[in-house]
Amino acid sequence: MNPILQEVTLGNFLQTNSVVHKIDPRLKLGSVFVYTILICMFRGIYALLLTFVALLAVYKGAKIPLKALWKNLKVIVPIITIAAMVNIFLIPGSVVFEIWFLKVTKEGLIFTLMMFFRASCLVSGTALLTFTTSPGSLVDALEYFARPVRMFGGSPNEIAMAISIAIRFVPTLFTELGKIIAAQKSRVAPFDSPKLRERLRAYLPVIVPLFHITSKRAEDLACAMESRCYAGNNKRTKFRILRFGTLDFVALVLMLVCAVGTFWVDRWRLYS
Amino acid sequence: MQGRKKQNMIELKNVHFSYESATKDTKLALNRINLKISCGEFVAVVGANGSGKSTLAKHLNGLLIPTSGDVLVLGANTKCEEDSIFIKKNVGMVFQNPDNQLVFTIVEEDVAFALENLGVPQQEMRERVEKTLSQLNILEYKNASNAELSGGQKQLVAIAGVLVINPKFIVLDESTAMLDPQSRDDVMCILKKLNSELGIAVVLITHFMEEAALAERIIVMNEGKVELDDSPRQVFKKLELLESIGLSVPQVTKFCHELNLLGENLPLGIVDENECAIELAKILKGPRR
Ligand SMILES: Nc1ncnc2c1ncn2[C@@H]1O[C@H](COP(=O)(O)OP(=O)(O)OP(=O)(O)O)[C@@H](O)[C@H]1O
Ligand SMILES: [Mg+2]
Repeated sequence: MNPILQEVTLGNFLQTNSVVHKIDPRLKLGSVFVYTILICMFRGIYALLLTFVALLAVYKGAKIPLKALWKNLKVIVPIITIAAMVNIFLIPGSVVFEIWFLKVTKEGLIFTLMMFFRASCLVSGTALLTFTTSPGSLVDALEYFARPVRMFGGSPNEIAMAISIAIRFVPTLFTELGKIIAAQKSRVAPFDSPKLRERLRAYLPVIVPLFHITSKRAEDLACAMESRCYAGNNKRTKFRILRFGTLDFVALVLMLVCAVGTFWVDRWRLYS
Repeated sequence: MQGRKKQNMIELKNVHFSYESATKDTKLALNRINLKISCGEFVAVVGANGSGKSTLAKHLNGLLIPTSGDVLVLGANTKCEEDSIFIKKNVGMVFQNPDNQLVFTIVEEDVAFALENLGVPQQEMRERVEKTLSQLNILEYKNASNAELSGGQKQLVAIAGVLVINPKFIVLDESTAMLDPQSRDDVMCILKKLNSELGIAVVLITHFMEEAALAERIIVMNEGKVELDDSPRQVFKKLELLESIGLSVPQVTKFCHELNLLGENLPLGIVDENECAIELAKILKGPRR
């Protein structure tokens, strides 16, 4: 498969059959949520450092190569660098050293470091979820958490179905888009024009056929789904059934211990 | 479903259909169709572009409801909303472009789609999916992503997706059109097997006359009407008629026809290369004229 397509369809997912992959996607999704909140609440650098190290250990356990993680982390490097350059000179406090008129303070250094680790923790944590959970299981987990919409007459089943189909359609659209662009190029569409205006205008005749083709395909898919007895009701059974097993229980306890532990480290180091 | 006569066929009675709402001079996509397709048959449907083949196919499982007339599937009328699932369970439909009909990314999950919709318990679902995949010799791709498969393999997955609910009929709307000759042969081979071993009726819509020649019966559509409905041999005898409505005949048939125009006396409507060879050998060995 085309590597770009692969990336788009499967996202980050890397099947290594590790224990982490086998954990219930609901637990993984839920804990990433809690984890994100926790990371934002930490006030000291020690807890962040500790979390980052622990996370690297989980990556090892999940058999995800650190190179893959780096690909995700790379994205935030420019943002962090810009933010750091601003903060490091602007935060007042005890001066560590001076370059010409710029003062670097201890507070500024710590703040920058914390920002760096906070961002890294957030990115690597969420990336771990997508590395170890297939889009399908992720949708299952979403469906589970969408259950409350039933109270308002919504159907989590239909929401999940819509998301799955959207995911499934992405590669098709990409292929189609490629074809249309090639077709327009062969009619000398100015995609590479130095003028932005012209380039933008060249894309208009791409969007229109893309919409047309997409709606045709959607119609076909609807026919196929209907032919295969889809009626959008809640009587459907699931091919993949989520089971909260012993492994998940152990993982949950471990994560709770880690969360409470790091939180305690954070607050205790801060106030003592 | 009460009071329905048990019938083992799809019956179309005086079916008319128009895509536009009826005014005086609307073009009919289907015009007075009367057909019976029995369980266990292998029928090919041919016709020029726009002759109404796809429209006909969509009537067979209730995707389209006739403007007038009735379609009875095993005795159940497609107009009857309550029988909709019963009809779709018995008439599986496979379309032209596999990319537009596979619902999920992973092969086994996609094949299970119809079973999920019918509320089959999970354990049974797994068994049936595996059984179907092995029937079509694609068990090894169980966990593959559909995007990795070739066109022919994808089409087999699509067939598996309808076969899994044990339909009595499978309708294929130009399902081999996008395949290379090898994959097309594979799919035809599987269809023949399903037809002869499991007794599943196959309705094959195709533009390939060689493929149609393999059926027991050919229905020729022209401008929304059934032009011919007969065995391949009888249909291909009418070479001039077929060519006048924009169709061709298998190359062997055409070849024999041309020989006859040159004064030979071959039997009409030969569709089999082997038979053609035998007939030619007779002439070649025969007395010199
Ligand atoms: N969705 C639609 N809306 C309006 N008219 C349609 C629609 N689909 C088909 N038609 C018209 O109905 C007629 C029959 O079309 P149909 O698709 O059944 O032909 P076909 O034999 O399947 O052709 P092909 O070989 O191209 O697949 C054509 O005149 C076509 O223009
Ligand atoms: Mg058609």
